[in-house]
This record gives sequence, C-alpha cells and structure tokens, in this order.
Amino acid sequence: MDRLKGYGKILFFVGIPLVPLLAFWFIPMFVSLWLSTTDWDYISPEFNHVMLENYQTILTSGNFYAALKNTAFFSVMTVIPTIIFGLVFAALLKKVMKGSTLFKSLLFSPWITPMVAMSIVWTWIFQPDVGLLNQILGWFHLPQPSWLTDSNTAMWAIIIVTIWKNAGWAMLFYADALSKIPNELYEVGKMEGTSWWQNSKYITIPLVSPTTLFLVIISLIDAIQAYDQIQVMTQGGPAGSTRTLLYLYYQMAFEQFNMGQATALSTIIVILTGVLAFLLFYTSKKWVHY
Amino acid sequence: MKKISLKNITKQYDTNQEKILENFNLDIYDKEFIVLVGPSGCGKSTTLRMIAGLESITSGELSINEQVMNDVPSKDRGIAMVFQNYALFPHLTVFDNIAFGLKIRKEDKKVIKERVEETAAKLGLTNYLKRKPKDLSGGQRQRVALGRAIVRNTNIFLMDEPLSNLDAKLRIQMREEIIQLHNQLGTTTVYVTHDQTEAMTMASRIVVLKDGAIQQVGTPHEVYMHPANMFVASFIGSPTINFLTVKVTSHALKIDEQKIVEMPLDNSTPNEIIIGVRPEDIELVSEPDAIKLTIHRVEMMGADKYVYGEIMGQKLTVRVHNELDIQSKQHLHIKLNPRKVHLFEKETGKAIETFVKDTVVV
Repeated sequence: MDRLKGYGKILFFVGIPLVPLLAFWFIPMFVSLWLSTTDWDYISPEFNHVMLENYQTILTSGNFYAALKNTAFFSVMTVIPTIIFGLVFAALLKKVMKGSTLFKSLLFSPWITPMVAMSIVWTWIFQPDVGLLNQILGWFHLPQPSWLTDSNTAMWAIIIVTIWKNAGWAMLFYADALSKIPNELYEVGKMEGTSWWQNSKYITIPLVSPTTLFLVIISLIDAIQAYDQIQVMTQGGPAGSTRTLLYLYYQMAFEQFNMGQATALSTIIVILTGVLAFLLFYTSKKWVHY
Repeated sequence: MKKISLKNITKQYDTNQEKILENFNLDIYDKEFIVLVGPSGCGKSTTLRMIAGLESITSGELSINEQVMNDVPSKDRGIAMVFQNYALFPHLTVFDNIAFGLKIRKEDKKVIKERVEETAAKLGLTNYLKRKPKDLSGGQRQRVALGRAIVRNTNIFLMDEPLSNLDAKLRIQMREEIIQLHNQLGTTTVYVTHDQTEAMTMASRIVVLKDGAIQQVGTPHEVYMHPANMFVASFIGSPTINFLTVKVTSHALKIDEQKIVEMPLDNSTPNEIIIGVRPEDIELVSEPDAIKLTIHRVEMMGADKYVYGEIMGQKLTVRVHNELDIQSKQHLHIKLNPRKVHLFEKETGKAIETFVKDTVVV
C-alpha cells in the first residue's frame, strides 16, 4: 500500500509538468515528423503520403545548401565575436570601472529590447543615404556600402545587429565567472611576472571555460534560430544572401505553403542543432575545466 | 647576515583611512624562521604581502639581501610565496602547477622536467604529478603549493597561513614537514599565522603584532617567559594566562587584604597593578589558610584538567594533572610562585621589570 502511495506521488508530481510538455512539445514534434512525409499545402483537407520525397527534394536543392552556408557563416560570425566582446567587456568592467552598474546596464540593455524594435531602428541606421552609420563612415572618408540592399553587405549588417544585441548578455555571464576566479591565482602570476597575455592564457580563459561552453551552445542555437532581424531588415534578400535555414523554412511554410517540405526542413534543422550541441559537449572535455 | 630588513614601514590604503601598519621595524637574518603572529586585522598578512611586492609600501624602506626593494617587481625580489588557499591552478596537473613559474620564466624544458621531478620527490608527490588539484587531498595540495615555491630555487620563502585549511592532525604533520624543509633547504622563511601554537612550535623568532604595531619580537621561550605586555601574555600560551588586579604593599601583593603572593617590590611600583599567572604555574596546596579557589567548571583535556574558578571575585584557571580527583570538590587551595608571576602596569598593560622575574631556573 505504501509503495503504491509512493508511486502515486511520483506520478502526481511528474505528471503535472508532463502535460504541457506532451501537449506542446512531444505531440507536435511527432505530428510534424509525420507531416514531413506528406505533401500538405497548409489549407486543403487532402494530402498524400510521399514518404521521404520531401527530404530528397531538400537535400538535392541548391537553395538548401545556399541557406546552410548562410547559416554557418552567420553562426560563426556572430558566436565568436559575441564571446570575445562579452569577455573583453566583462574584463574591462572588472578592471577599469569596478562594478559600474550603469555601464553594465547600458551594455545589457540591447538584450532586453525586443529584436523587432531594434531591427527597425537599425534599418534606419543602415539606410545608405541618410543613415547614421554611413554618415559616420563619411566623416572618416571610408567607403559607404548600401548595407541592406547590397547582397555583399546585407549579411554583415544582420551580423552586426546580432552581435550588438548579444554581447552585453554574454558580458553578464562572464562578469560573474570572472568574479569567481580567486585573486590569489593572479597573485601567483604576479610573483612569477606574468604578462597580461599570459594571465589571460593561463588563468582567465581556462577558468571561465565552462561559461564559454554555455555561451557558445546557447548563442549557437540562437544563431540557428535567428528570424526576427532577418524578417524585419531583409526578408532573406537581397538575392537570398541573408536567407538562413530557418528563414528558408518560414518561406517554404508560410509563403509557398509547402508544409510537407517545410517540416522536413525543420526536422533537418533540429537534427543539425542536436549534432552540433553533441559535438560541442564531446570536444569540451579537452578545453573546458570545471 | 641581514636577509630582509624593514625600516619604518608604514602602510595606509587611503590618506584619510587608518594606518594598517605604522613604523614597522624588523631585521630578519639568514636562515631564520620568523613567524608573524597576531589576531586578524593586525597587519601580519599586509606585512608579508609588502615583502612579496603584492602591496605597495606607503613609506619606509624594504631591503632584501641588502638591496632596497620598494619598487622592484615581485618576480625580481628573489622570493617564493605559499598562499593560504594553496592558489593552485585547477585546470593544470600537479606537474604543470609546480612548473608554472619556470615556464613563465622560459626555462629550458629539460631543466623544468628535472627540477619538477626532483621537487616532487622531495615532497612525496612523484606518483601524483599527472593529477589535477581536485583529485588531491588537502595535505597533498599544500605540498604542491610548497613545491611551487621550492622549485624556484630561491632562498626566501613567504608563507601566508599555509596550514589554516587543514584539519588538526594534518596541520601538526605539515608543521613538521615545513620545518624540515626549511632546515634542509637552508632558506629564510617568513611565516604568517594567527595560531599561537604554530608560532611557538615553528619559529626561531616570533613577532607578535596587534593593530599594526609590533608588540614583541623574541624567541618562543622569550615571548612565553617574558611577555612584553598583557597582550603578548594573553595571546601566547594555552589555556590563556590569568590576570588578577592586585594591591601592592611593601612585602606582598594583595586582593582585599588577603595576601596573594609574597613579593618585595621597590617604591616605584604603582599601588595597583595587574599580575599574570599561567594556569600551569599555579601550585595546589593543602594548607587551609592558602588562597581558596571556588571551582565553577572542570574540563578534561587528556593529560591535564583545566579547572575554571574564581578567587575573591576574580576569574582564575588552573591546569592540573588528570589524575587529580576534583570532580567531587567545590574548592581548591592554591599558591602562587613569585618567580612565575608576571607584573603589568594597570594603565598601559606594559610589563614591569623586577628582580624576581629575571632569573628563571631551567
């Protein structure tokens, strides 16, 4: 009887949180897996089972590989600078402006501002003729690209906005990680006469490595899922230069109403994300020190 | 030979803040084991950190090996330091931790390997070289921290409460090991602790500090037998020394007209003074007219018993042999030996030098 009671308790406590998880996560996931084997057009009640045809179409289309390339480029170019800026800002915050909350909040404020609102503001900044950025570049007699309307620079513009938004967020995590490094370790360094670079290489970077792993994984997933800024600023253009995998998915599903292919693509994105996260965790044994 | 010399050293973090250390003067000689001891906030760690070059010196002169070192960077002072919390790099192996300084100084790889292995052998760490600090016990970590100092081949060691994180048993063992290393390597060591037992057992000379000022410098025997003031007397020795406020008459010291101890003192002695008597220096007697101690509490310490009580309203602790049965008693009769009574001025707490105190038969 007691044992039954125990099981009942477990079922009760595990069951309640499991309900929303099932309703909004597991079931939709299986439904979309099933959808990805159909040719449903999002509207009509009829559809056919096409098995793996959707996957075949995607994996052989040039659009997919172009978007994959864009996603990879976007991810690398946003994740690495976000990490570097975050660490540099946190180190500056610790050294130069000891715990300045004002500076901290200023750097963090982009992260709490909605991406959509920020993207609209940045669209104005990137405006080629009267935008702030080209004005400033003009003062220094630097080239003034057309930013969002040029397929060579549009991706860079999106990258800049994304880094700008995320660096302050990364800084906050690094600020905490840095504050946990015992000062004695730097004193050991001082006794031996370590340079600034040696301090970073032997002490700071290894000791914040768990934070780095966390930030890399979260911002990588964030990069793969980037949508708002692309939707507001370029809609995947010009000439597909800012079309990432997720944006391609959006266009397939809600512009072309090709739900079957779109869900197949989303499945591929999920698998890709999973593989990347696994790889990161796997290799982290070599460079993350707990 | 003077190894380290501190002349009128003063430390102040901010001009309007209190001075951490004022007019600190100390000469440390070759191969000495100097222990700086005092309660927290007395300036002992600050002093050590100034010698190390981790803190700037506000005024005064620091010389090491007869050279002024005030503005010389830590790495060029020819010293090695052992930190309180070991300060090991958690991501490096024992080998790399010990080798850290040599690597930074760009020593040859072969030399590094040789020196690290030799040091590890000295400390019994040979089998642990590939481990990370988290896989070591507290004592082993402490040894690695010592190894990092030894491998540098310097002859001045600074140690900042290196044993405070170890449990009591290990502390005694490491105490022994540090002393052995000190003798074996022929180094000059400056050791900071708040533990008077460590100071007494390890030091060749003790420096007792309080509120940024030196209270007394001397061998463990000197500071124990001839404390310069009440602070030193109470800080050194366990259980703590007893202080009694007494009246001075021509031939004896009295509390409320009862004679406490016979002691002919000259006329310059103030009327009221404080005497210090160590709990182990109190004799038990059977004469009923001796001083009567009312027992409050008895602590069994193993070899000894500590008897806490009072005489004429003043608290007194007596250390007695464990075989003495006092559990059933309410009173004890005691006698003070005039040779073992320390006299202090009531106002300043300073020791009063008397003829009785000078000669102690060892």
